[in-house]
Amino acid sequence: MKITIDGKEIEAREGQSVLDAALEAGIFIPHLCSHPDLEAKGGCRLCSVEIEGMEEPVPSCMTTAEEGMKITVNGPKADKIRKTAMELMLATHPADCTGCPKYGKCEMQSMYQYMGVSPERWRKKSRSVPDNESNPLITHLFMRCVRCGRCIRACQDMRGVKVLDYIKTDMGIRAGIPDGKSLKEAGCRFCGACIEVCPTGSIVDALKIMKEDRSYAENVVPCRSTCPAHIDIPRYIRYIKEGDFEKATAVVREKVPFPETLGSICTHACESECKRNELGAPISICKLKRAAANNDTGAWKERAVKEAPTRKKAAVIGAGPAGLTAAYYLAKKGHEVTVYEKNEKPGGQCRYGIPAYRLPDELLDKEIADILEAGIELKCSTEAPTPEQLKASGYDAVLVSVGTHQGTKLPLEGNDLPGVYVDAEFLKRARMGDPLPVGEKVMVLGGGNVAYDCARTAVRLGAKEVHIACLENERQMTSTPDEIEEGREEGIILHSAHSFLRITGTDQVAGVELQKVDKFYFDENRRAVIELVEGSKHEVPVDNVIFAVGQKPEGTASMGLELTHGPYIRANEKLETSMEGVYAAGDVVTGTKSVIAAIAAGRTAAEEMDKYLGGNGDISEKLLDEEIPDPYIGQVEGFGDLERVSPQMAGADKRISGFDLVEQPFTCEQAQCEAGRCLQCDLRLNITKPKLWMDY
Amino acid sequence: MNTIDIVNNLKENECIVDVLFKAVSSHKCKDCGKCVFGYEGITQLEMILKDITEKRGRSTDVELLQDLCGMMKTQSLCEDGVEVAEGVLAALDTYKKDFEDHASRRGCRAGVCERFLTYHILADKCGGCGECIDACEDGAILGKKRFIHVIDQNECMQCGACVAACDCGAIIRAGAVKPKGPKRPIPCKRR
Repeated sequence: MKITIDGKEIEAREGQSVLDAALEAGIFIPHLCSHPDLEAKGGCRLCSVEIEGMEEPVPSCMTTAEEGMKITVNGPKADKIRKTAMELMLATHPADCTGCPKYGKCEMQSMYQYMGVSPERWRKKSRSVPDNESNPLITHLFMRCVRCGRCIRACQDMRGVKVLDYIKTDMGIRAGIPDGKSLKEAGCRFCGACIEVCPTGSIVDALKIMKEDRSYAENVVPCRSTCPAHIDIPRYIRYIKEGDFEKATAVVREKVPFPETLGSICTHACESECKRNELGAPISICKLKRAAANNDTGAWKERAVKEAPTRKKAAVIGAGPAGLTAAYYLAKKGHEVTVYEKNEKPGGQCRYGIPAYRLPDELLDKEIADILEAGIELKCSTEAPTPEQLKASGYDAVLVSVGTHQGTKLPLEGNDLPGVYVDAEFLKRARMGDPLPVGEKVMVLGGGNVAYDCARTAVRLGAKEVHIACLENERQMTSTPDEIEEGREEGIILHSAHSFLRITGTDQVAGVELQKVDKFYFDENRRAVIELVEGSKHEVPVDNVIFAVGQKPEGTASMGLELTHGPYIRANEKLETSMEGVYAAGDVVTGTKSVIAAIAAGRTAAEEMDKYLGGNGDISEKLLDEEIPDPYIGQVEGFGDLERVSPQMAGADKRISGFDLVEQPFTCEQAQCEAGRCLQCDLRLNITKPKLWMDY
Repeated sequence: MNTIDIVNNLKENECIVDVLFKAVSSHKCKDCGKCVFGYEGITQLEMILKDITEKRGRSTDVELLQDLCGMMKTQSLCEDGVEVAEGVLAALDTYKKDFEDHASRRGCRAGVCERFLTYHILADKCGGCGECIDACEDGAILGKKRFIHVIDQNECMQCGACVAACDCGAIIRAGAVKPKGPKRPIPCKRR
């Protein structure tokens, strides 16, 4: 139907309000209590308009458009109502805009500036309400509440959580939680819809979760932005909650070709950023990924893209997570890909660095087989030619992703005695079924997860007493708390905050001399400063010492590429090396990081190499249809206190008897239950952002 | 009782502004908050009426009240806002002079609004004892022994301390009608 606003004829739909029709046609009418996703209530009267044939101005949000309606937005009567309404709101609203967290992003501020009004002719009143920062994630500054009711409608009608309502206080009526309850007690699901719709600074994100170096959306969904590969975590967790493991896996696979591997061994930085930390423990994101992949049927394969052959050839040196990921996406972009792997089997650190009790061969074989299905030629037990030779032999682009497979020793007295090992070789030999011999007592030097991998492997190889010594105290150690705890259960003796002075023994390791660390920190020049406790020197007698103090790349010196920090390959943001057409990705560039970081780098390498090879560099995939999640999340009894679910784990006695997987995947019920704890932080990004007048 | 009935049933000894202020202060609109004209409107009515009863009214207040109530009448979300606005408008219509007297600080006709009350010393009762002079913290009472004391209305803060101090019962509170008396102290007639 046609209606006329300020002399301009516009189209309106049956049942549409005059306000919505105007805004849709690009005609701005001020409004505040009205929100595109919420039922109109007509309380604020900022959207007042005059309609031909009507005596008094009416709120356009509550007026249904009718054929031929003639509307004037800024007639004298409507304008007076609108301005008075805003003046009245300002008369009791704090005047210190600059001190408000919403300053510059505030709808109310934008509206009154547009209207150019001030409350001077009215009596002023401050309804002082103390700021409430006692709730997790959400800060209430209700002194700024203008009773528009948007948060209440969002909480009640849009979400069905029904926590917020109008409440009566000594200072008047405002939005709030009835009966003096906390958000958690009232059953809040911390979805943030109230924050999203608040047109003032009354309900805001707690300051500490909003980091300046992240965009708004990144702050709102920190798990997804923290993941190096930006897996759409809330989306797959929602599918798991619904019991749809296939779709969950497809979501993960849109970003990474190793779902189950990651589900088993990822360092899950996402979990540290999970907003549920503020309510106790984070969502078990990593293990949920494993549960999804574990129950997957491979339906995603039907949607996997494989573009037409480009007749371009790419070579990848090193079949670790970075190399295989790059190879996978390059092959899907139609390039002919050959992967060179020095070892007998592909997988890199996943195969030779991570012990089988955390990541068994069969699992890795299965996921790598899926990758190779994309059409990749894999040459194992093959020393790759140099990048230059590869280019000369017809490869158009080369990726170096050889990782960091050489263990390092510290310059310590006795470090060359028989019985001294380095982590990389020790773990690799164990994984290959040809372990280095261990005596009764073993000490691992280092405080990361690799140190635990070595120690727990030594236990499984029959050592009776295994120690770990590291400079860091337990809080500073880079190994995960889970790893430390599981190690403790398996009898590993931890000497945290200890310096290793020397390895004793004459023709064989006899022990390690340790001394307690008083302080360990990095000075302003980033040099390590170690202050020792006098008189705390003592020797722990051991038969073997394993260095787990970092690894570095091998063989990069002969590749003809510019290096940095010793053996690392220098690469720019596009992962280009000093040689044209030669790229580098993963640990060989960054130093030993994580599998997920290597995969993310592999994706970047594939994008850049595809562009170099004449493609568009777009490796994104849609392995499932986009579905708009149900915004009505409803109430869940005791939601704020739901405890993190733990999968079943074999007892320590059983674990140390061999290299069997120590932890079972979640059962479907456990996974659905754990997924149900997710706050679904992403849902609020689906709420329409009202446009301000500057946008018209 | 709704506001308009309260206005219509005003008794001789009641002040319209005071009665209206009390009606507005306990009105339903204060407990709702769902519309700007109802809630912020009643908040303004309450504040303006309170100011008027407390001798803090402004000359523009009567006009402001009329303007506000006119909009509350058409723009409130429910009948409650309309009802209170109509009540105030009716009061302004019927008792306009009372409002103007308050707003221009002339006085409260009914002698109800405390800030408009004045204290006076009755010449025929004052014994010139000086007790009230000692009791007045504002130094608002003129006179000396055996002279009729006089309250300087410009200095008096209407605290009432003098009433309690006077053994002669010579000090009274007055509303609209003020007692006659000397402008400055004169010798006492009373023996």
